[in-house]
Amino acid sequence: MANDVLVSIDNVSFRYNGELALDSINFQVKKGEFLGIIGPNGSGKTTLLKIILGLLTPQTGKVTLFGENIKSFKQWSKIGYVPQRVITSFMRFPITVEEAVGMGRINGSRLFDFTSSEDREAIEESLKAVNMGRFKKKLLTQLSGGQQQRVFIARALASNPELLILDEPTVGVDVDSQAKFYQLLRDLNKKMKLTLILVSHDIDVVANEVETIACLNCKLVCHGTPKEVLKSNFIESLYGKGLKFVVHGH
Amino acid sequence: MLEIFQYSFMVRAFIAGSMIAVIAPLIGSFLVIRRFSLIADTLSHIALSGVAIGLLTKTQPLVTTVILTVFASVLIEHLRKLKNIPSEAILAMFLPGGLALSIVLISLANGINSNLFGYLFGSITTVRESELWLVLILGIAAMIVISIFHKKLLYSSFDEESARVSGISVDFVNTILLILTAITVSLSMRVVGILLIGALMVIPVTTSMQFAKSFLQTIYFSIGFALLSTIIGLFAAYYLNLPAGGTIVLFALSMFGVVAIFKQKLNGIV
Repeated sequence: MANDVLVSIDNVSFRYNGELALDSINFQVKKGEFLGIIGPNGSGKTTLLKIILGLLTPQTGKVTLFGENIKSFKQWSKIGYVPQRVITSFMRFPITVEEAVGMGRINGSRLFDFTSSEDREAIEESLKAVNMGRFKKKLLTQLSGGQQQRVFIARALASNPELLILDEPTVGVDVDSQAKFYQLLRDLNKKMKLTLILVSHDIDVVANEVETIACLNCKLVCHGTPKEVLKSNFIESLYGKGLKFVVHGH
Repeated sequence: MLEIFQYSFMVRAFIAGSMIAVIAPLIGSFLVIRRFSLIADTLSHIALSGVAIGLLTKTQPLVTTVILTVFASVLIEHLRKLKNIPSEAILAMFLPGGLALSIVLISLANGINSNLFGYLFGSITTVRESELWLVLILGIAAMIVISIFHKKLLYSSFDEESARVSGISVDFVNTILLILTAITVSLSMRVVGILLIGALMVIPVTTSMQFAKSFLQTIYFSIGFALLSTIIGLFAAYYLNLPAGGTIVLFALSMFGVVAIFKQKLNGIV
């Protein structure tokens, strides 16, 4: 396998209680790529994401991460994960930005949980990368939705990953914060050379941000650049007729 | 005032109480963050069955209780992991289950006796030297385990899915937390009593949450509150001839009340 392929999905199928959620999915994510996975609700986006993250095991097919079969893959610190907003009642609990980002330094291979100077440096660097350095001592509860999402990106960056995977990261975030958020993702992709996979149901936003789109509806309906994908009739079949997209450059 | 320390049973009470006051909120902090506070109450009802087994078989009840609660905690975590039943429903099954088993066992042992009352409501002043050693050894072991795993525990409690992605064995970490909870519940029953253990694991934490500025501060302050309520409670129990367990918990609750009112006043709500 070529060294520049970070994720390879080969003929992956998954069933929930006998019901087919993903049917023979094939695609690859190359180093430096910014891939958007789109599809309507229930199309299998989150299932595919969980398979890539090793949280679910497909019944058939093979997933390869950084050239290694996921079954034996151990270098999880190479992958940063930003889940859907972690806004629940936990957030009533006093946790500082620094403590939340510090979680990104923890991994299964470390036996003792003591903070090293290297950890402190990585926390500082990742907060700086998302422009949240001055909020280090603030409680998560004191931040806006957009700022909290930046903190969760910083947490994902703290392990110095090569691949960043984001699951519907802007749900519940206001429009202004969303624009800043996507600018940050572009910077991470272009300046820090991070490979990004963004899962979203918001095709309009994704089409304007990513360089490759994978449309999912149980099967991989289409895969290509936003222009190629939006030109095709597949999107209408996915989302219904009457949708209009404007793809613009940045 | 310090004549209280002339009595060796009171010295033992203070040492055992202080150890429990450190480990109960330490573990309670992780339970509160994962909205699993009721596990302490559930395990305490199972602990009652452990005491009944101990009394029935004439074995040291602390030993039978530790074994039974640890077994139950592993079973609870296993059921929680299967995700077929909501967590709170699992607790709602085990809590009356533990009580039901203890009622049957107590009736087999020809009803309730004063020994059992000591476990139900606490009997800190009757803590024996062997029990004190057990409390100290297991308490120190619990602190060492928490200090080794505290970040993995925090991550798994705060965002289980992301913790799994970073390669943390979340199931193992969760099981460790529940085993520690089971041991703490068992150790605490002589101090505050089976029916009041949950209070010492949760109230100091919720008091601390009112003003703490970080997770670490929450832990430190909650240990402080638990130590303060235990020490004041023991003094009050000795000089006013009150039951120690109930007095300690009432002091912990009073502290929560004072801190909550003070915070609301600061926020201009009251």
